[in-house]
Amino acid sequence: MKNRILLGLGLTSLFLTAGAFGAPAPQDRSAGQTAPPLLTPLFTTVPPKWEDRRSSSRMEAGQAFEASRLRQIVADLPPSASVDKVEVALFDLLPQIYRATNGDLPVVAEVVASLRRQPGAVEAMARQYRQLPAEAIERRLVVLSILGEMKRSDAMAQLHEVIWAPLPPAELQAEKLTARDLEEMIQVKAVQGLAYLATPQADAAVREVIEKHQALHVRVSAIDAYMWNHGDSPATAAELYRLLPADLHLYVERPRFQRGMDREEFTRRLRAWQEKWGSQPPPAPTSAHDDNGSVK
Amino acid sequence: MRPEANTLLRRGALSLVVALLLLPAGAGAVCPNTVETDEQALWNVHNCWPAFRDWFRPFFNLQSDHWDGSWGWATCDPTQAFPKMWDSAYLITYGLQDSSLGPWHSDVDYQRWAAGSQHDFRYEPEDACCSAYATAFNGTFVTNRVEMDCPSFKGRTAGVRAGTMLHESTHIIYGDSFGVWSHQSNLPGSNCGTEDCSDDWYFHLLNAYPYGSLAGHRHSMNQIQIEYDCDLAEFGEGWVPYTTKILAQSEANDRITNRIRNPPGWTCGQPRPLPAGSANPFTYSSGRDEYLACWGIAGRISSNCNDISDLNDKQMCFGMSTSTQSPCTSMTDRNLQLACYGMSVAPNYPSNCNDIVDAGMRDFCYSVSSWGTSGTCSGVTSPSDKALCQALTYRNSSYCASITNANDKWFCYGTASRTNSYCANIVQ
Repeated sequence: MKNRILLGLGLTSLFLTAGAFGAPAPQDRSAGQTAPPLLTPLFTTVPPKWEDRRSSSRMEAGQAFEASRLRQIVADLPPSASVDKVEVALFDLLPQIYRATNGDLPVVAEVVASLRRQPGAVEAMARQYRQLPAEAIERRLVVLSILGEMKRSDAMAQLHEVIWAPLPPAELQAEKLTARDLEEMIQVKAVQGLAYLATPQADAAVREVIEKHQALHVRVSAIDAYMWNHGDSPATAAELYRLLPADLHLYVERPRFQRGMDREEFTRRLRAWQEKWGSQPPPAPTSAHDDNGSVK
Repeated sequence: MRPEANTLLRRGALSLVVALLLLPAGAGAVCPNTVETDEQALWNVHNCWPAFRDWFRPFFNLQSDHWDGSWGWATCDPTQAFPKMWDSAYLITYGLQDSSLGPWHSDVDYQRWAAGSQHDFRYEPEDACCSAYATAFNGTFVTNRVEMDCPSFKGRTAGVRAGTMLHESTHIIYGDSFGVWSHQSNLPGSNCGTEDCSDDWYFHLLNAYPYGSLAGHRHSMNQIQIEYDCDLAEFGEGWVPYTTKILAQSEANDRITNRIRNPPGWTCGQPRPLPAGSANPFTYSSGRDEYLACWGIAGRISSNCNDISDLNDKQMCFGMSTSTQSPCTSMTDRNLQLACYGMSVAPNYPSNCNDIVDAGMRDFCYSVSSWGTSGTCSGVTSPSDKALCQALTYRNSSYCASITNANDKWFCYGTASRTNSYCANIVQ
């Protein structure tokens, strides 16, 4: 603070000059010209209607998700295709799935359900996963999603390998998500697949993650997955309360914010959680900039 | 993200004068141009829509003298930085289904929160790497701005970049004449290392702020980012790329654990591997299981269910085979369990389907459980799943003919007609 005061005094003489660098102006549509500072914007705050987007908004050939092609690739596989054959199919299949939208998910789910029957699907998917570069987080998440959703006990080894891979060290100065954060996200997806198996062996493996994994985020995500895959039952919660140290108890019965939830039930559970575990932060600073773009 | 302005002030007058003279930064090198799959997929949705471009440039406050040249001001090339900002602004503006579905906040709220024109700052690109996605500057003697750094444009795509814009905007909204609102100290074991990157959570319930009235209600940087990311993951429009959804959910949950000092008490989305699984409650991990289930359900001979390897599939088989709900009790998948409760005693208690989270499976369950009085399979999108749903709902195996997978077709014929001889055709 002392530095700030001295600095403020020392810079008083620069005030007029500095004023020129004050509020950046909203820009007019005439690109390339900087308008003077204005308090009243010259543009509308209402965006164009989405329905009015130009009619040429369609994908170019080869870029679109093609449901029929996806189904055909899987249908063309013989009932017990070899690992190699499944892998060849995945070379076509996965790029299509990477292009899928939310609206395409039922088709993706349908294809995964079909793949699930292929004895070689787990090994083929594991091979694909190993070929992905470390920085391809989105594709690694998708492949692990499929591997988990297939709900095949022979996927346990692959999932186990991902979950227990060594994590990068915490970085000294990293305000963005670190490599460690991203790898934890990957390991969480693998834990979700493990918990989804819902077999005694898989349950034991998930409990091991909950108890021993080095990353808090992976542990608390394993708790959530374990609860969900046991119907969020009070008995499962009681089991985890016995298993876990007290500082992890707050993660056992968190409500899930999700599409299709009962909003009143979510609110009831969240309120109950807050009463039991919640703490309020100190007051936040007051907003210095109001919604009109002017400085208070 | 880093409270760079505060640091700048502490360095003394000389460096500040230099900084003032140098601002705004002139055009120079640009970040490497790349494009990720979902960035391209999203771009394909609007395909360089000029009316939106002309609106979002001044509203979010991106100016040509910063974004022109190789930054891509005038291009429709989503490998370049400006079109990537366009994609993010597009998601913020149109990407959420609002109505009564229930995101934390509406797209209008997020638009206003992230818009430079509404909070007296602008967005600039910065050829900077590597420790931040973006940096906010605010104060009396600096140009209020958000510098979008190279890590925002490489390996990071539109959805989570939109979250970054909301995050950075918050630094400025709650900043003062001395600088931005800074992060708080980290929890022990934080992934941030020595630099502060964590925030407090300002708790509120759903509906605490009606849609359109978020402004003025305090949220920390990571908090608004988490709420947006989770809204995008759970309430994204149908055209939002799936990879955008999965990344947004993953990042929301990561930040809840690693960037918030007082946990908010909820978690984002279901911990299911593929968030929207199949609507069909009769999917099997092997031909053998499908074969056994078919014999059990079609012939009402529950002993066939004994050897089904998957617990949920086995209990579903017992329930359907004996027309009793008690086997459903030990199922672990809640959605399948509710479907079992409903379908096993059809047509008596379709209300058991009420709480199935997946809309497609819920409709499947309603239809089959009510024999068509509470549903008609219209919400089941996959043609093969829909055919099975209709066959079971109307107890009419002629619907099965269109099912493409041979095993599924024989399963359908067997269970819809209650004739177990069809099951012999299932390849194990």
